[in-house]
Order: sequence, then C-alpha cells, then structure tokens
Amino acid sequence: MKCAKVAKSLSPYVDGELGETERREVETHLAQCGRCAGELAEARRLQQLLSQAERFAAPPGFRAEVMARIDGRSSPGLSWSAVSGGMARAFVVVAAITAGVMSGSLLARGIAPPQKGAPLIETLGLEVFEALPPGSLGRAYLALTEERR
Amino acid sequence: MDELSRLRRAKEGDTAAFGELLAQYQDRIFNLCRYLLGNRQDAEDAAQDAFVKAFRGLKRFEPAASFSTWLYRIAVNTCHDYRRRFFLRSLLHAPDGESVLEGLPSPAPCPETAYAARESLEALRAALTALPVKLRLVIILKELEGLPYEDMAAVLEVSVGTVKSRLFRAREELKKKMRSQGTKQGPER
Ligand SMILES: [Zn+2]
Repeated sequence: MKCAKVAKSLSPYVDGELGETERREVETHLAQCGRCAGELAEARRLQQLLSQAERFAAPPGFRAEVMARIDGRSSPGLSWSAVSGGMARAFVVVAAITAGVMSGSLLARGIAPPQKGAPLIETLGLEVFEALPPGSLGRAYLALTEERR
Repeated sequence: MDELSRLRRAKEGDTAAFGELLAQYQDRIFNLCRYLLGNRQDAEDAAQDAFVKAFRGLKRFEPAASFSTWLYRIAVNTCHDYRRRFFLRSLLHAPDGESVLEGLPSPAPCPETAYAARESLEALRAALTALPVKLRLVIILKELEGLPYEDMAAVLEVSVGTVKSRLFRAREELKKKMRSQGTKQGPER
C-alpha cells in the first residue's frame, strides 16, 4: 500500500470503519512508515480533542415547552411570522435580485434555474449555493450564514 | 417500556410515550442544533421544531427504520431551514453588526484543565466554527454524536462513500485550521 492511499484510509481507520483486509494492509504499512504513523498520531490527537469538546444539554424546560406545543398550548418560538414583519414585500425584491443573479450563474453552469413562481429559497439546496463562484449572491449567502469568525 | 413500544404508542397519538422519547433524545438533538446554528436560542427553537415535526410526522414513520436516524435527519433539515431564514433576515436588517449568530461558545473555564489543553480546545472551537457547515456536520455526527458511517449516510441521505470522503475532507480542513491557529498563537501545538 502506498502512502497516498494510506493517508485516505486513516480517517475510516480511526473510526473502525475499514474492512478486515484493508485494515491489515494499513497496519502493515503503518508499522514500516514513520510518516504515516505520524499522520495517524495526529488523527488520534484530533479525535481525542474532539472527544473533549463541550456537549450541550437541552436547557431546562425544553421538554415541557415541546410537550406544550404538541398539545397545542403554546406557539413556536421562531415562526415565519416572527421574522416576516415587511418580509412579503422585501421577499419579492430579494427573490427578483436572487433570481437574476442565480439564473445567470446557474445557466452559465448548465443547471436549470428554479421554476418561475416556485418558492425560490426552498428550491435551492446548500449544495447549489456552495457550487457558486466567489462574489455571487450565493457566496454572500454562505458568508452571511457562516458563524462570525 | 422499550423504545419500540414507546414508538408504537406515540404513533397512536400517546403524547406521554412521545414525552419519554423526547427525554431520551433531547440532549443529542439540542447539541447537534447548537453546533450547527452557533447560538443557544436558535438551537433551542430549532430543536423544539424538530421534535414537533417528528411528533406530527410519526404516523408516516416505519418502526422498522431507526428512530434516532430519522430524528437526526429532521433536525438537520430544520437547521438548514433556519440557516436560510438567517440569510433572508440578514438581507432585511441593516448590516450594523447585530449578527444573528454568536459563533460557538468558548469552553467553560475549568481550573483543573491544563493551560495547554485549554488552548487546544479554544483552537478547536475556532477551527470548528470556521469549518463550512457541510463539513462541520459530519464531524458533529461522527465525533460528538458517535454515529457509524451507515447511520450518517441515512441521516444525510447520501452514500457511505460520500460520508467517507466528506469526513476525510472535514478532518483535513480541521487539521489545517488548527495548524494555522497554532502558528498564529505562538509555539503551542
Ligand atoms: Zn506511508
């Protein structure tokens, strides 16, 4: 087995997701190759660190709130109505701009633009946005939805 | 009562049985939303929405399938919807800095934790925050939620091969970001 192949196999290896044969091949290589053994050590360090990352428990009252909503005793915390305030008008503008930019760049890539009149945002998966060139509105979407650095 | 009996009863509209399933999964689902959305309030709203959707969709759920996988899938899709809403909201409100997203929280201060370890956790936090959401998601499902590849594939509705390659990319990116953090912060790492 070559180093390049082992490098790709280390991720499933540390997850215990390699088949028996491949696992043995990787281990044989690791026993002879210091560089790959070093890569493995780093992968394990990362895994170890991630195991210490904070786990967030649901806040107090979470269950009661969900149960109340299920029983129809409470309304959802963040609904469209909470966001909408002038949204309907603004949405038309946003959709028009987005449609312009998106259809341009999507057509350029040979992907059919969303159907006219269809709820535009709903029809666009994250994958579509991520395939867009830098500087496009799709990229702006990503930048805006990524957490603050 | 085991999970299957709870599920059967909840499917018939038994809210108490659903409440038990909720208690069983609420922390895992909230944690996932917390890491995907980056702040407590939105995570709480999204996790609640996910459970309400699950309850309403339970009639269509086949008990032969994995309930946890199905629930994770609903939560992931709900978080994606929230992220789209943030985008729209951000277009509507003046960009004067009042961001919807707080970023991921810093690890709680803990006197027993060695300084170096705390530093690495801090670097990890920053690296995770900077990771594209698609890659962050596979890291969370694998490393924090402990899902096997097959379950991750079912949650994400992709092949096991895609899970494998996405995790590989996610780890490479994380390592790269951690390294650059290390050099920015000095000799640590
Ligand atoms: Zn090697």
